[in-house]
Amino acid sequence: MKYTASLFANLLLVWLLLSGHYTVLITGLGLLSCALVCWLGLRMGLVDAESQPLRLITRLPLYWLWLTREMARSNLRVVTRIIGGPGAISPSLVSVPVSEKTALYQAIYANSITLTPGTVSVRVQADTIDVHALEDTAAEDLEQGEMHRRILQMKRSSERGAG
Amino acid sequence: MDVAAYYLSWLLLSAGGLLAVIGGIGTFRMPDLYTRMHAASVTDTGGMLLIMAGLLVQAGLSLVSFKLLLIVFFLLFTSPVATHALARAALHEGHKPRLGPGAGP
Repeated sequence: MKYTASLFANLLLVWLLLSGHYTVLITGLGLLSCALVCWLGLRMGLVDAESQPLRLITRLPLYWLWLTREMARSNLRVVTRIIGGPGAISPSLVSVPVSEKTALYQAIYANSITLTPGTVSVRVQADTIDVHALEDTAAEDLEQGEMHRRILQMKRSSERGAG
Repeated sequence: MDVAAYYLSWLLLSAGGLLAVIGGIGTFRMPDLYTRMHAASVTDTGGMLLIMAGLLVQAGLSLVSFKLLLIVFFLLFTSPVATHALARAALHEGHKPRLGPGAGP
């Protein structure tokens, strides 16, 4: 129930902020279509903790902040490699271990790896992610597992908080 | 608009444009498909974020800035998935990445 309510609230917020017309007719149509989408989502079995990760919402901004910093740093690194040309790179293919089996957290991890330039996740398996890195230092950074640790920390604190 | 905001958005837009161009140059300079993808992701992330930040400063606090934020949000979710799909498809097809310093043939 709370997931349906959250989906409805999100849809309504997006409708209100995107439309900008606040007449009775338009807002009524908006309410109606939000309800319709909720009903369709329920019928398709899409409304659950995975599509509405409520517990994560308070923890995500902090992680995104850290991820943005990482993205800025690796952007600069890749830019210097591009300017340096093909002589400045040493691509490598590494397997990074994942101790988290939930699809949601694996997706967060793999997407975060791809979002930071210089590393791309090429294959996600049950307990490893194969990563192609532009240089071996980037691969080593990943193997040290700072990103993985932060994602696990986010998961743990969200489970504690939800009670 | 405020002069400071004007120059700030000018700075952000230029920096974003510069990163996008560098990413484009990188896709030509890099030796193989996988390394070219790394160069393209500079355009995808750094260039995109800086240009959007510049536009956000231009828009101020309004419905338009919410729409811009929504674009950033969706791009940050979809672009890594597209990149991953491309890399996975290439690997699946047996396209071997060149490895090692300088990525010789």
